Amino acid sequence: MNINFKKYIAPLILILIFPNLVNILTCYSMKEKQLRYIPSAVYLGDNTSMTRDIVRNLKSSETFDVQYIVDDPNEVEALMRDGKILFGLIIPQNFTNDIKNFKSPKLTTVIDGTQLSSASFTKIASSELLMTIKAGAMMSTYQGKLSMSETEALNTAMPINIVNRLIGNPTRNYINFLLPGMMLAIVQVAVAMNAASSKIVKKSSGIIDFFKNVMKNLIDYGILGIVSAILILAVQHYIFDVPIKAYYTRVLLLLIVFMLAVVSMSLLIASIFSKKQVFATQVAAVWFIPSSILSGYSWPLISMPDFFRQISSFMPYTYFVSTLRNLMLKGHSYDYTNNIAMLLILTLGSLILSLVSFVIRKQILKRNITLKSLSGRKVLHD
Amino acid sequence: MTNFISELKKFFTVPKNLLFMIGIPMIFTVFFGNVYKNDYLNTIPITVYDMDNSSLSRSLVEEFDKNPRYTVDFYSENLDEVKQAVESTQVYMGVVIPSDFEKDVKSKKSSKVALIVDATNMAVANNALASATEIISTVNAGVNLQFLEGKNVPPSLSKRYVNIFEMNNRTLWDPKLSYKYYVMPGMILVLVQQLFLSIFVVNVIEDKTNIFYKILIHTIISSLTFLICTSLLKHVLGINIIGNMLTSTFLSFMYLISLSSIALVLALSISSPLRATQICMLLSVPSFLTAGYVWPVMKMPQFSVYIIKALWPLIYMIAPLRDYLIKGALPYYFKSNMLQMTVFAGIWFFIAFLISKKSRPCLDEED
Repeated sequence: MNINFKKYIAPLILILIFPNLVNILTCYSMKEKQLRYIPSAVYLGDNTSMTRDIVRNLKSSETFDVQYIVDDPNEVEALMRDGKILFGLIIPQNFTNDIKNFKSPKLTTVIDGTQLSSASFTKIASSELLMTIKAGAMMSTYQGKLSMSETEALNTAMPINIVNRLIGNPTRNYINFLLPGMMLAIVQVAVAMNAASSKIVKKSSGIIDFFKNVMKNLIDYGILGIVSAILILAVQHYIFDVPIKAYYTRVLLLLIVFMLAVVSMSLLIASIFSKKQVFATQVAAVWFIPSSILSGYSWPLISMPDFFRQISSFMPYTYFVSTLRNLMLKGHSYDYTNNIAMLLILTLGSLILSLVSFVIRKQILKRNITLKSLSGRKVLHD
Repeated sequence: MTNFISELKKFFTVPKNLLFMIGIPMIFTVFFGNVYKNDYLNTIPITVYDMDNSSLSRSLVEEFDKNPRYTVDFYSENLDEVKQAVESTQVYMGVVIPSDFEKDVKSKKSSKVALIVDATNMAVANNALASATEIISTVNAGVNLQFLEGKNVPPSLSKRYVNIFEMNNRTLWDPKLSYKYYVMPGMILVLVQQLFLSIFVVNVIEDKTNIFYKILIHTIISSLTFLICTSLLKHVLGINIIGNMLTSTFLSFMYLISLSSIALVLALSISSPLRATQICMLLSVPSFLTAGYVWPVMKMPQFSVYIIKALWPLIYMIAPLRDYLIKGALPYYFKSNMLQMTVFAGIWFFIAFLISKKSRPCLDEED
């Protein structure tokens, strides 16, 4: 058997090597995993033991890194505008006195809203911290003014406490949240563009021939895609500690079915735009690249307008990526079977449509040839 | 000058150039902007398991029910049902109110409300938790007032005790913390980058003459596309653009000049337009993820920052340009970034020059 290895070089680079290098670089870049020690500034308008305690609490928290103590509250915003800090705390003048006189002074947290990843996190962390400080202040008041015991004062100040249990990603790890899906999105696009540029129509003389070519491409690109995906997940799991809680076989089955759907949909594109390889590649890119946004992986589907949800229901990635994340982080996914079924339906539907497209194209070609030969005979006859 | 005009004619006579470099970025800007149309992450499905069923627990449930952030999808009958609903992503959060909740609170034993949150999607989890904390804090304040009334503290004084200090939050530039504000200013630069690459590289592969004019024409047109996309953000998608749009267009022009250096290396190394298109299209997600937009540069290890800065110029411009558009000011590190970007462009233009001296492209095979 004579195999032309040269033709596999580019797909090998694009599908296997490139996404894996990107995976290592991106995981390494995010190796801190959680957003901690966020650069912060404090305006200490009132320098008392109470306010210094607040700053000490802020400094001892893992979330904030107090880099600036400023003299003017406007400096907090200026530092934020310069990109030097992402969080600021403004303790107003006479804060301690105002508390003692029950004037309800205002403690202001300032958050840079342009950095969503840190902003939502600092918002929660700062409000938890300030609530604790507030409870402490209320406790001292109740003890002093109403002669309550420490326990009574605590339970009066904080009658209802919150216990959080975060399922799937308790440490709010960014690699776990983002990278398994995003890296496989790169593999998906690479597979799709390569498969969409294959010459399945040109190389096929009949339906059987076409079927054989489709199968060959399905196997070639499918295997390359699966191997690349496995390597990516293995690096994330063994080097960057991304959990894979489900059985590996379940993850593998999902990967196989997903890759089949991606390759078959790309072959459908190849069969429709068979004469224009570059255009077919661009169509595949335009269809598959937005799927990482439309799948609900980061911005959830529940918040998207219906139109976009409907588009995403035709994208294999939608049925794959959240299921993968659930399998990895939770150990199971309740929509596993449904999503496998949906991916198989997309595969089958794409294959049938490619066959239909092939038959139509060949019939048009045949008719054109017949018309040409008829007109040729007519010319000869004349 | 004649060469410039002939290149200009060449560019405008190919409809694909206009479609890809101007039309598609505009369409995608509006398309993706509408994906993030809903500013707030609202109506997050939750379940409630109220083991107490007292007036206090019901009022707490009511607070969750009437908050637009949540939709109470169903009421659970036991803890397993809550866990299963969260595990199966049927709901994103379960609120569990313990038995004797009211009794414990009233007898000042303090009680704990458990929030079981699906944290696999951090965007949902953070929003769900933040609002739940606010709700419970409000209920806590109400209970506090009742306690103090019981102690015969006058209402005006008890309010002061409870509001011993106010917690005020100012989230600057994007108080809604919406994805639209967060993603779109960076995304338009990536869109312009991708379509610039896929057209410029292919055009250079097909015709290697007048490269200087080609760079000039492609970068100017892509910068103008950036200006149109920024206007779409402002006027169609309603994003508050504070920075001067002409200045931001000039910055995008500088970026594209720097990008053209590495694009030229690609164009001179690959002879197949097909492979070039594939490589260019493949770069969108990796370049966005490693540019310090999703994960800030200050939190990256220095070693990976060096590698990224040596390989792709997006890291120099994407965050400063976002800051400029949304905050109206450039960050403190902008000058050094510009300097580094110039060095980047110089090195890659030099590499392109060396490659152009060789006749044979490095990757020239095609299926």
